Amino acid sequence: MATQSPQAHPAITEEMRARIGVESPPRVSPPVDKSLIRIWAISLAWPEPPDPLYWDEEYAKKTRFGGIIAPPYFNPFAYQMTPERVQQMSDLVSAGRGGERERARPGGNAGGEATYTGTPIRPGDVITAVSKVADIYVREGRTGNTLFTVNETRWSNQKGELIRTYRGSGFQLLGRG
Amino acid sequence: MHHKEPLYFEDVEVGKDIPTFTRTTGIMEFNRFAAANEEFVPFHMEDEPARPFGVDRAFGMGNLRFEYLHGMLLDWIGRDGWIKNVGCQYRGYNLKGQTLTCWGKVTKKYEENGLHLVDLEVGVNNEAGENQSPGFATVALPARHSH
Repeated sequence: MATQSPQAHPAITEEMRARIGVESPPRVSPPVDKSLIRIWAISLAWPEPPDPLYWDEEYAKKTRFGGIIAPPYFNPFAYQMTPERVQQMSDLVSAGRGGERERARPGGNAGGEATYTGTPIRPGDVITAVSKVADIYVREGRTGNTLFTVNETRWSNQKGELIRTYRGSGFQLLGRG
Repeated sequence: MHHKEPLYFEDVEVGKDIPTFTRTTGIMEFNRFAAANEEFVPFHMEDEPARPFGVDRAFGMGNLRFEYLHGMLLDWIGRDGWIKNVGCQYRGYNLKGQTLTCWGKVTKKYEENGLHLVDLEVGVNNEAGENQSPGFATVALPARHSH
């Protein structure tokens, strides 16, 4: 498999190249709610009981954190979805296929990487997210070419402390292009 | 599962496996995670919308596999350590009802910028033993004796 630079591959348009490194307008979360942290912790642990650090204030006070924190992968931006966005996610399967829902998947989520600073998210925090396209590249494989788009999102709290950086890779099958 | 005893840097051995984290992923697991992360997407909830992908039933979120890797690391490191970095690929589908086993192997331990760090190779295997999420992690641990 060979990786080509963005400049080299015809599947990467001028418009796509221009997006690399450009930061999106910041997104601001609603204040982080204890109840949502607890729901997240339950989904992580189920069917085992959730860690009391994430819901039991008395317990959490005695830990080095001094109170409830959120699990590291907690998402404070949930519940801002629109029906249109859900439709877009469902349509991933039909994208680029003339709207026909075919067997092959033309795209999806290739992987992710989270880097944490060690500063946890706490109840009441307001998280600001800034995203950018960090990289776009084409990889050649046995079954054709695949376009990868790496998005990088940085989360900071209301004090300006960096919480985490997430790099997610999306892929799109280009076929023999 | 919620360690009260800290895991110390000195007690970690390169080449050792860490305790696995296993979950059988049915609708209970998918829907709970959908409720937490707002991932109410038809192919994660019902069988029919998953069929265009060439599979016979609903499949789980990549994010859920990633979350389980966090769960494994958190159970292992205890309260005083923290996950500095974790990443994985998503290969294949986590079909409804499949049992996933997250695993990790220590590949390196070192000090950097005053932190005591441990690198791991991690993965998420399905029942057939296929690693559907090859990945890596770095955790920071407390040391008994800080230098």
